[in-house]
Amino acid sequence: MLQANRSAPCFERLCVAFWLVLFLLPLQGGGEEVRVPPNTRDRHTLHLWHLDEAAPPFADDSITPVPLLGLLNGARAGQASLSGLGSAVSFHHQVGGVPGQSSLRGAILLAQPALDSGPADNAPRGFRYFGPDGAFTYEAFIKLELSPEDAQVVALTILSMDGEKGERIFSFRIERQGFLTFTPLPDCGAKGGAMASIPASGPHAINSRDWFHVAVTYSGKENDPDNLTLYWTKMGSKVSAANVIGKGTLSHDFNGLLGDLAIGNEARAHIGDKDNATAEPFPGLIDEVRISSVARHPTDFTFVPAEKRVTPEQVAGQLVEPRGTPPFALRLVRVLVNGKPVDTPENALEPLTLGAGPHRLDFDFGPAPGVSGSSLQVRSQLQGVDERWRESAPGMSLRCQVLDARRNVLSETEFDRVGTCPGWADRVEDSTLRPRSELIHVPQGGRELRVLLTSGTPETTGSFVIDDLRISLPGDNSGSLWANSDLKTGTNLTSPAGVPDGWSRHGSNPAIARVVMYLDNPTRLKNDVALALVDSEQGEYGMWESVRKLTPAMEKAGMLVVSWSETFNVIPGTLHRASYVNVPSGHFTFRAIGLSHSHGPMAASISLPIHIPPPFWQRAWFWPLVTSSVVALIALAIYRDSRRRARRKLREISFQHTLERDRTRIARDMHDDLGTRITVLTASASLARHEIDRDPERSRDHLDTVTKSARELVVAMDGLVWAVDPAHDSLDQFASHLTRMAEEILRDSPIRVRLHIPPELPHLRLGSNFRHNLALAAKESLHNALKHAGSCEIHLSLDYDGTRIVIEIRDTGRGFEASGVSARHGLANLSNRLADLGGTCVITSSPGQGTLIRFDCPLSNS
Amino acid sequence: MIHSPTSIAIVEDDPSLCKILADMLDGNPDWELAGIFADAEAALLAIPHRPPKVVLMDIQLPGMSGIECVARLKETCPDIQVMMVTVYDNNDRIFEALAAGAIGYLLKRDVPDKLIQSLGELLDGDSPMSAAIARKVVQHFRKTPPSANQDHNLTPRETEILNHLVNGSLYKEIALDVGIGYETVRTHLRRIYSKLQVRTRTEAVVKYLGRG
Repeated sequence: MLQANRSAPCFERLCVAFWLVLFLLPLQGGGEEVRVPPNTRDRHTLHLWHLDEAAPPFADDSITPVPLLGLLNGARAGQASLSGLGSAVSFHHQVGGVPGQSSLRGAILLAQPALDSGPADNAPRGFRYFGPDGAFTYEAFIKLELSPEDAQVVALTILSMDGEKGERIFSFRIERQGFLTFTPLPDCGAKGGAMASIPASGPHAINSRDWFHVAVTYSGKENDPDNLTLYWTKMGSKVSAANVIGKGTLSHDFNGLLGDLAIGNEARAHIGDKDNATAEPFPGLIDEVRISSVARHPTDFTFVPAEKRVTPEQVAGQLVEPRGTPPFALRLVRVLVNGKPVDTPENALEPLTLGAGPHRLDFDFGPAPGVSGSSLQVRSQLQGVDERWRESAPGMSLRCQVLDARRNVLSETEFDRVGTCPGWADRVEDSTLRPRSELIHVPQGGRELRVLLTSGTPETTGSFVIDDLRISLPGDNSGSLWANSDLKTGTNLTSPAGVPDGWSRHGSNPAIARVVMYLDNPTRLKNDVALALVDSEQGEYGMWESVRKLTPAMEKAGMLVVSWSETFNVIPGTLHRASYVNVPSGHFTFRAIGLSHSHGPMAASISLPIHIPPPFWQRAWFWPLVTSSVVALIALAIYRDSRRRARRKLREISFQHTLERDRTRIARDMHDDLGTRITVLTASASLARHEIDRDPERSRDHLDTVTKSARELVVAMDGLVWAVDPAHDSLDQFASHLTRMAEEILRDSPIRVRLHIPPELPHLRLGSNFRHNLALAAKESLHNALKHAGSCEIHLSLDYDGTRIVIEIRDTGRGFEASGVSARHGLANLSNRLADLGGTCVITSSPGQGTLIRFDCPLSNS
Repeated sequence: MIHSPTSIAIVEDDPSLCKILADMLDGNPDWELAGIFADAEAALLAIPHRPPKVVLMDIQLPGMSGIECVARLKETCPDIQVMMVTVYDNNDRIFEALAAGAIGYLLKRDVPDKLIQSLGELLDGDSPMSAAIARKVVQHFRKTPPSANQDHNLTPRETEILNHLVNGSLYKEIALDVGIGYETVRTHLRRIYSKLQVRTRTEAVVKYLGRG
C-alpha cells in the first residue's frame, strides 16, 4: 500500500482494491480479518481515548476532554491493534514486586502523570463518569495474551477508579476465575454489582487470538432490578449487536466522588501486603476506551454498522415513561418439585396437585418487573409446614434442618448471606474467613441434622465459603460432634471437584459446589480444605448437603451450637427462594407477602394452594377398609375384649389427631396475627426512617403506625401466649382472661363494661384450643360492639352450670337488622368457631334494641 | 408543682427499656433519678443506704425475681413505694407483687403513654386496681381463713367496693353507687391493699425467701 500511495490517484484506488483482495483472501480461510472503525464523538461521549499516541498525553476526543498523562510501570503504547483502531496499549508488564501478589507493580495508564498514596493522582476535578440521570456505559476493546487463570495478577483490570480511603469508586475487570465483573467500591454511594461468566464455548468463547469488546451499562434507574448489563463480544464480521453475558443491579446512582482513574490496572496505595497497589495489570492489549453518559443500546457500538445502530435519541423516543408508579405486584416465577420445574394451575384457586409425597419443593418468587428489589421486604410461608413467616433475603444461605425419624423437616434455621463479607479479598483462596456461631433448636423427635450450603435462586451469583463447621452442645467446648468437621478425608480433595466424606453436591449445576484447598493463605493451614459455592451463572444454582445422625445427648439437649468460619461475596438476584424438603401428604398453601417502600407503602401477596395426596395405604378408604376387615375378623375370631382394645387404640389416634389440629390452628392464627403485624411494623419503621428528612409529617404518621402495631403485637402475643400456656388450662384462668380482655379492649373508649363473672369458679380443665377459640369469639364480639354499637354499656357475663359454659355479650347500643348480610357473615364466623367446640352461637338484635350474642358450649368431662 | 422533685430508682435488666425509662424520667422536672440497677441483688445492696421515695421494678429479673425484691425492700424500707413494670398482663404475677408490697403496676406496652401519669397517681395516693386483679384479691380473702386480728380482715364496706371493682365499675361509679365520696373509695382501696399485704407478708416472705 505504500507503493500504491506514490502512484496516480486512479491507479491508486485500483491498487488498494487489489492489495486488499490479496490480503484478505488467504485470511478469509484461516481466520477473520475484522475491521472496526474508531468511535466518533457524539453528545453522549463523556470521554473517548483512542490510545493511538506513541506516548502520553493520550488525547480525549470527547465533549469533556481529560487527557491521560501517566503511562507507567512499563505500560507500552503504540502496539498493533484491531484493524481500523490505530494502535493499542499493552499492560502485560511490570517493574517490581511479586507476580500474583499485592506487591506487584504492574503496568498502568493513569489520568495523572504519577502515582500517589493520596489524592494527588485522582482524576482531575470535574471529571465526569456518568450522565445527568446517573446512567453510563464503560467500554473498551481488549485482547488477552494469557488465559485469565494463568495470569500472575490479582485480577485483570480494564478500567477502574479506585484509590486510597475515600477514593474507591468502581472497578471493571476480569477475575482470574473467568468472570467479567463490575463492582461498585465502598465510596461510590451505591451497592450491588454485576458478575457474569465469560463464555468458554460458542461464538464468543474467550481466547488469546481475537479481539473482544467489553462493556458495562447502567440504565440510571436506581429502582429497577437488573439495571446493569455486562457485554462480551468477539469481534467478527457478522456482529450486529453486543453480546449480553449477564445482568446485575446497582442500588443507587454514583455519588460523583473521584478516585484514581486508570486503564489497565488499579491505582492504590500499597501498604505492606494488605492492599492491592498496581497488582492488577491487564495481561494483554487495551484500546479505544469510551465512557458515555447513557446506557448504550446493544447495537450502539462502533463495531455495528452505523445504519443499524439504535441511538440514545431513538431509545429515549421509544421509551415512554409509565405514568405514575407501576402497581406493585409479587409473582411466583416457578415452582420446583424435586428439583424440576412444574406448571402451576392457571386458575389461582385450583390447587397444584402433585404425586404422592414426600417432595422437595422450591418456590421462586419476587417483585414483578419494574419494582426495586432493594426497598422490598418479603416474607413467605408454607401453611401446614412453617410455624411462622420466614423473612427471605435473596442471597446464598447456610441452613440447618432437624429431621425426624421419617426425615420430615421438624425445624429449619437459615443464615442468609448477601453482600460482601469483611475479609473478602476478591479471590476465594485469599479471603480471610470469619468465625460465626449460632444456636439451633432441636425439637422433640429430632433424629438427624441436615446442613445445606445453597447458592439460593438461580439469579443469585457470587461466592460463599465455609470451613471448620462444628456442632456442639451448649457449654461444651470439647470438640465437634460432627464427623469430618475439618474436611480432612474425602476423595480428590486437591481438585475443585473433590468430595469430602459425608457431603454431596446437588442443584441445577452441581459444579457450583466446589472444594477449595488453601495453599498459601496466611490465615489458613496449608492444604486446609473448605466448602465453596462459586456461582457466576445467572440461571443456575448449586448446593452442598450433609445429613448426620443426632446423638442421644444432642436430641436431649434441645439446643445445639453450630459454629463455622465463612467468607462470601454474594450478588443477590431479585428472586427470593423458599425451599422445603420432604413435604409430606396433605393440603398446604404457599403464601408470600411483600412490602415495597420505594413509592410509599405498597403491599402485595401471592398464594398457591398445594395438594399432595397420601400414598394409597394412607388414603381415606384404605384404613377404614382394613380396619373394618380386621374388626370383622376380630369380631368373628377373637374375644370382645380385643375389640375394646382396638377401639381404645382408635380413640387414642383420634385424640392425637385432635391435638395436632389444635396446634395447627393456633399456629395459623399466630402467623396471621403476628406475621402481618411484624411486617407492618418493620415496614412502617423503615418508611419513617426513609422520609424523616423529606417529609417529617408523613414520617410522624408512620411512627404512629409503628407504635400502634407494636402495641397490637404485644396484645396479640399476650393472647396467644396465654392460649398455649398449659398453666392457664382452667375455667378460672379463662374467666380472668376474659375480664382482662374486656378491660383492655374498652379501656380507651367511652363504652362502659359491666362484668357478670362469678368471682370463684369450680376447678375445671379447659384445653388450649377451647380457651383460644372461645376467647377469640368473645374478642371478636367485643370489637364488633366497640365498632358498631355506638355509645352504650356492654354487659359481659359468664356462667357455668356444671355441664355448659354460657357467655353472653349484650350491648345497649344501636343494634341492627339481624337478617342483614353482614350479620349473617359475622354470625357464620362466630358460629364456625363455636361449632368447632361443639357449641352454638346465637345473635339477637334489632335496630335500636342493642345486640345480644350468646355462646353456649357443652363441656364433656373428658 | 411547687414541691421538689421526687427521687426514684429503676430496677430493670433490659438495657433498652432501662434507657427509655431513664430518659423519660430524666427529662421530667418532677422526678429525680436516684439509681438504676440491672438486677434485684444490686438494688438490695444499694437502695437501703439512700432509699428513694419510689422504685420502678421489673417483675421478671435475672436471678432474684422482682417480686422477691419488693418483699425484701419493704422489710428494710417500709416507706418505699414500688411500682411494678411487667411485659405480660399476668394476673397471678401482678397479684403476687401487690401482695408482696408493691402499690401499683404498669404494663411495659403502656410505658410510653402512661408512665408519668401512673407515677403521679401513685404519689397522689391512688392504688390502681383492675377488675382482673380485684377478682384475685376477692379470691385471696375468701381462700385464706380470717385473721384473729379483726383489723386484718376486710370490712363489709371494703368487700362491697371490691365486688363493684370485680364487675368493672370505675371509682367514681362506685362512689355514686355506694353513696360515699371519691376520696373515700381511694382510702378504702389503700386499706384493702395494706390488709392484703399484712396478711400475705408473712406468707410471701416465707414463700420467696424460702426459694433461696
